[in-house]
Amino acid sequence: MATIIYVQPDGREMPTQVRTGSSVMLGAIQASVPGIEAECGGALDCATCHVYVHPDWLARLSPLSDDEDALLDGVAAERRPESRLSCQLNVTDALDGLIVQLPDRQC
Amino acid sequence: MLKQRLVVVGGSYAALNAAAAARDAGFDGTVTMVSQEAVPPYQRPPLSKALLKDQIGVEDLPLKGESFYRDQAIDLLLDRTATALDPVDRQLSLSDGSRLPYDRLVLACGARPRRLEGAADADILYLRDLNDALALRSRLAQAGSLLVLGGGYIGLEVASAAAAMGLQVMLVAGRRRILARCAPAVISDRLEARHRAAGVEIVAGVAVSAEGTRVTLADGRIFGADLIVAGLGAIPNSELASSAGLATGDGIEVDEFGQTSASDIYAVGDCASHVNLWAGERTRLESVQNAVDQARAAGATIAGKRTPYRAAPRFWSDQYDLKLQMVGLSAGAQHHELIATTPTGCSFMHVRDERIIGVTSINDVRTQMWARRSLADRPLPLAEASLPSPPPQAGAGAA
Repeated sequence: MATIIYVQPDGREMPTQVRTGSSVMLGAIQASVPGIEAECGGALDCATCHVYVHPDWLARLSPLSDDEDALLDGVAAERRPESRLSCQLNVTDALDGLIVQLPDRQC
Repeated sequence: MLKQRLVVVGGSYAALNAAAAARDAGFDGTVTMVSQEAVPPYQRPPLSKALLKDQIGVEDLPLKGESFYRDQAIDLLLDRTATALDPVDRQLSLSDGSRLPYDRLVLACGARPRRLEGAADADILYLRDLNDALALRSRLAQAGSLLVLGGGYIGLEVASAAAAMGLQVMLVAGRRRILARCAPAVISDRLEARHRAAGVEIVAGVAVSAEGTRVTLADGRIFGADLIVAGLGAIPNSELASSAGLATGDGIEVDEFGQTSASDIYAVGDCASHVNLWAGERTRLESVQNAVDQARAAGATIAGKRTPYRAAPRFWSDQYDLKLQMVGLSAGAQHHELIATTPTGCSFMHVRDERIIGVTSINDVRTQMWARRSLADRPLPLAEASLPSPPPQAGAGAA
């Protein structure tokens, strides 16, 4: 398990235990953390599991693929340098403590 | 004042999203979902892909965590069906013998697999729900060969998964080409070539009859396999509505708010037909996007926030290393034009009456995202389209 800290648009922090091997997206869905739609369930089709990764953590994540990069151009909220799709962030012990900010909308 | 009672019949994307959207828009009465499933709503697309290949487990499938239903005060009645609808007394009869009164009713009854005529159910597997998928997964693990009947997405995805698992696969499509109903020939050709490269034998344009695990084609050829899976399309579950006197055709007929011919009854998802801007006519769509977006509109409308459903159809399919994505529709297009190529893929636009009514991409997410932005709320007049990259050389990359 790793603790992922989901930060709501209003600043509320929701520290959540997520199974390693799962994704940051699935962790939010399973714990009913609001703010992530994930319409396609992680198939890299929809761009509705957008998060802003805390800058301290960016370099520790797996790199952006071309497909994720293209999908991020279609997110509903503003795209920023720290934007990622949470379905692509695999939870490992090394991500224990990861902070992700949720955008104000996903669609 | 008595609390309003919203009842939703169904247990998948459409039912869940109608209930959740009503809550989101401020519906403060009771919300009850009646589902024939034994478990809360779960993801369906992986049932024909990652789940079959054991790449994900059942624990990854739920659409919402269990606390969601508690937090949103959505009462989930599992393992029962609605057996009758009385639209005058506003009451549902359930298979457990109980009666459920409502003020607003949402029918999200889904669709069921079309069965192969004359074949015994025991001999042929179909794929619709989790139980079907788990049964198929365990049978695939023991089979050496697979015969797939049907050249639609379900058939192709099962064929793709089985080929990747090392099975010998043959696919028989009743129509003259695979995906005849939902993709242009240029796309069918590409997918067919990929399936053949993976060793899948494809026979198109012949009817079949089945006996045991052997099928006979209309041209007399006989094939057998360890296992037969049929993906022959789906039939909307509209009987509850039609027997209650609601207007039905190919599905339960609704307006752009999801409202049926009875003003307090709505229908959404696979079981509903609506006049679709991209199709240019009444149509019934079977996709996650349609279920979610149509249900959201209906749910918000029920809560008093009238919301029309006008979102562009979106769809995806994963087969081997090919990622197919669509926006809009391709049926009804007068011509299809290549608008982009990538090292392993391409995008085609589908044009009707000087408007782009859809774009299909294979391994070309960038062009697809451009198309989804451009076609978000209406078919795009060609004159207004600024294509994302220079049109390719004539013939380059064409299928």
